[in-house]
Amino acid sequence: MAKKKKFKSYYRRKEYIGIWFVLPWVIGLAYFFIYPIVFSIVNSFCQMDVTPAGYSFSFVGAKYYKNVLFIDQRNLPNILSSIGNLLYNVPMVLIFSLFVAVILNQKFKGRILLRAIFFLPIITTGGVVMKIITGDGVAQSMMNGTGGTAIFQVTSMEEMLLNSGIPQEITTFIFQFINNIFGLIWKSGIQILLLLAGLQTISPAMYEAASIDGATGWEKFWKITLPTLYPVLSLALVYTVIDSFVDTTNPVMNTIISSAQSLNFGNSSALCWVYFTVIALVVGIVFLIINKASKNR
Amino acid sequence: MRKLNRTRGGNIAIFSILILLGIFMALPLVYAVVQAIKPIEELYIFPPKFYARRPTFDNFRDLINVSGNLAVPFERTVMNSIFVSVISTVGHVIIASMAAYPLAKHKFPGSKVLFNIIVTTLMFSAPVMSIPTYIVMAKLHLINNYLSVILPSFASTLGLYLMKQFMTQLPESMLEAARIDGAREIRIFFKVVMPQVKPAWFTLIIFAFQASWNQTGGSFIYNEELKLLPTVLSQISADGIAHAGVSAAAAVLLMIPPIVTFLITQSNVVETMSHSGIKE
Repeated sequence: MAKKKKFKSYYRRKEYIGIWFVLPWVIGLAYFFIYPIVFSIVNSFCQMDVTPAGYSFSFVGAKYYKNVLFIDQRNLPNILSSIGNLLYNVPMVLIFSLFVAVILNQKFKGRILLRAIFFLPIITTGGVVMKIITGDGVAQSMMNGTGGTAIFQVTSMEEMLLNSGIPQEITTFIFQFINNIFGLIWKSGIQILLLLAGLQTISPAMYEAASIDGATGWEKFWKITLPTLYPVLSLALVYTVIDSFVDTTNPVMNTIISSAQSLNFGNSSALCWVYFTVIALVVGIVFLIINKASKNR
Repeated sequence: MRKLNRTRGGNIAIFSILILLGIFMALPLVYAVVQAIKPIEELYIFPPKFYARRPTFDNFRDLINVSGNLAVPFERTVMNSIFVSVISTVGHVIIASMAAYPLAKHKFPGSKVLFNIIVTTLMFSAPVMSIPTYIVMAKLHLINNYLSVILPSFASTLGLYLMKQFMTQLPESMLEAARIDGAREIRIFFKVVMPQVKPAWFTLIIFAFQASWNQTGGSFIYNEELKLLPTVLSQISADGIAHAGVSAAAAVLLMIPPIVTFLITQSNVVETMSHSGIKE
């Protein structure tokens, strides 16, 4: 009996230890995420006035939500188009970064240098470096899409393809892809690093055993690399989805930030919450798919 | 490591693709570096060139001259930034990993709820939250205090999520073995878990350092002496055309520390972390 009691308290103690480990982070979360989020919910239903004593709220109901959804005609199409972009962007980014990560994980001369090159976008996107670089016209056009064609002088090629009788839709699609390639590659930096770190946790003994059993590289990729990489891959997937939504070049994000900057906090918060609900729905669907796939595994 | 059983031609093809993509990635930055070493009369040649005809270090010299005229010595600003970035990075990695360990390996009451909160907070990006965050900082009396820049990074969700995903891969039997040998949880964490997920936290160091290095702190820090490097450099380069070369030099300088962190951490990650000694 006494033994059983001791056993129980061991597990109870373990639970408490877990809480101690999480505690510092939870305190930070409460102050720097939860409180601002609650503040922004309040803000979306209230008019905020800055007074000499600070600020005051007066309740206005769903006025800002009506503004955002029905009066401002840009918002709904913008939200829909960001979901559309997602369907195109996310698979591309993931496949591309998996491809690059697998190659970069192999041993060859100068791979640290090559890894560094693929890491460069992370350094520059966001932050002051980007601001300074994009202050320059050429670099700017390279990064926001018109660059691919400008560098490779493909405009004349587009005409040539059109003249040779290929339907316009196909050529436009091809050239859109070339134009977006910068954006695509630049968005994959973090995912490449994540997958690279994931690949490094795979034991070489597994590959060795598989080789001895006569598995080909292709089989090893599908039977060893991909399943072991699964948790990291799902992390990269969720990250890509969210990143594609909250990217500051996204038109919805632009509206949110610019209306906050013009001191229109109510509209900004309301749009933020509408948008957030959409993101949460999409991420929820992604999680359902991930869970289902991991159960099937 | 993995033995390639591809043909020679296949290898060459794959690496040419990789190098082509690498060029795509590096191009804007190469351009920035080239701009930094161009003398002033070459900066505005049209169409712009990807090389400098007469490379000089004038821009860097000008940058030092310009920053010499600032009220606060330039070294002070650089030290400020290094201080803030190092503290935030260390705190970020330790706190995120500590929080990730029980979430990945212990089921304690509320751990599921907590995990859902993590994913939820990932969806809010910093610019959207900037005004409420300012109000929080003002209430905590942290304006003009480095804690306002450092503390939010301690509560980062991306780091926690990353560490958690990696820790779930650890075999339970390894932790059990440590427990049977009488190790306490804190010891298991530092001696067993952390060494095993080294690639994960080395990657996290890169992210965390990069994020805090780029932080301007512009909305929290107003005291000239306390200002961080990105803010000061963007002030210098804000003077427009007259300082185009100087701002390119500033951009190049700003890129160096994250690249150095990257190179150090990447070359230190031991080739492959094996789940050593455990047979399932």
